[in-house]
Amino acid sequence: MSCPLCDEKMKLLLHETETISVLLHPRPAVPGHLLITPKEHHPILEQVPDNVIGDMFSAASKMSALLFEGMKAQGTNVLMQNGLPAGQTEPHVSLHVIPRTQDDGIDFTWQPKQISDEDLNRIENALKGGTDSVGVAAAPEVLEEKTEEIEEMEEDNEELKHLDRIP
Amino acid sequence: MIVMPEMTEEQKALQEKLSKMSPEELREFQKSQCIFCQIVDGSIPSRVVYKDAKVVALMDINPASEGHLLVLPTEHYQVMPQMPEEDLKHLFIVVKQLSQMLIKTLGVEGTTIFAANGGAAGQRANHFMVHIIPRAKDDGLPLNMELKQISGSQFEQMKKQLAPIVAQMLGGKPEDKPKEPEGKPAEKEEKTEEEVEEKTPEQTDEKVEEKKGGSDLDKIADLLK
Repeated sequence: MSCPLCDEKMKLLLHETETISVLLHPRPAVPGHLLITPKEHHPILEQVPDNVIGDMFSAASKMSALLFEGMKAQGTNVLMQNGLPAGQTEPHVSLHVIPRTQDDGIDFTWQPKQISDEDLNRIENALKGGTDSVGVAAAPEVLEEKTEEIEEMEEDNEELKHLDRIP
Repeated sequence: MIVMPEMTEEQKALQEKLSKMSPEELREFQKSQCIFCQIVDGSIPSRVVYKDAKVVALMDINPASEGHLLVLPTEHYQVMPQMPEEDLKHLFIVVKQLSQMLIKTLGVEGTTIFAANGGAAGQRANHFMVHIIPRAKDDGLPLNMELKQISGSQFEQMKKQLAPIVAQMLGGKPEDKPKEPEGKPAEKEEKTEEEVEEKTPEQTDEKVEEKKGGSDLDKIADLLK
């Protein structure tokens, strides 16, 4: 199986540590758009070991500081699209760090969804029942199906083809 | 998203008083005024689904989708780079686990993990937080990025500019660093290149740490509405 972020890494690479790679996005939302990826190939978030998750987000924080100070960004978005419906476009977990300025034309503002108190209560109870595994080691079972889906997507995904065409 | 109330006349007068406070006093004051700090200590009721010493996760009462969670540090930090590294790592491990929990519990097929640092990035609250937004196919949420084509030379120029400062910030071994330009930049080099040169490879991580908590970050935080 081929992964553009593994195969083309050297063309995009800004820096690598023992666990993570910092890449320059070849088709940026704005100039300076960075991707932070686990060095190991992992299609979905849940497969990434906790220490690597920590390293990825710690790097995202440092990259935010760098973009404020070195690139004159007025803000940053730190964003991960986890799964196909969320818009994940590569079969390799990627954390986006996007430098922002006023009037850069990007708008991630969503409209609040109206949800009744009854529904909020129902969801709250369901979620509280599910958080027993949070804060301790959570097992990545039941996600194999999602992994397969992500692995298959490279065959026909337009975005991936674009990513292959690196300048 | 939680919408902050408009400023009243009283608050405006207060703001003038604030301009005379020391940075420490100001920080304490900001904390006392932060509705998320009051949510963390329980004085404002909320739908908390997870809490430990460092992290609170609660339901967004104005959600982008059903199950939208806010994950915030219990301590008051305005933007992500102000958080101590260990707390930040812990917070995002909890985020990963909560994302997994949402997928299992709600049967959704994906999540967007989203954080904004600074008003220009869409941050509205004064307390750093991470959104976990359950996603469905064609849900129409404006969270997907429009990507642009750039030329190969633009890409290479940006790469050359960023690689040395990224390496310096992440403090890798010298052999891991992409080759850094030596001596004076050639005449054709852009001005931005010279700015990069100002940060010498000898600059220690400690200095970078110091700078992180410094006035530049406060400026970013000040852009909050």
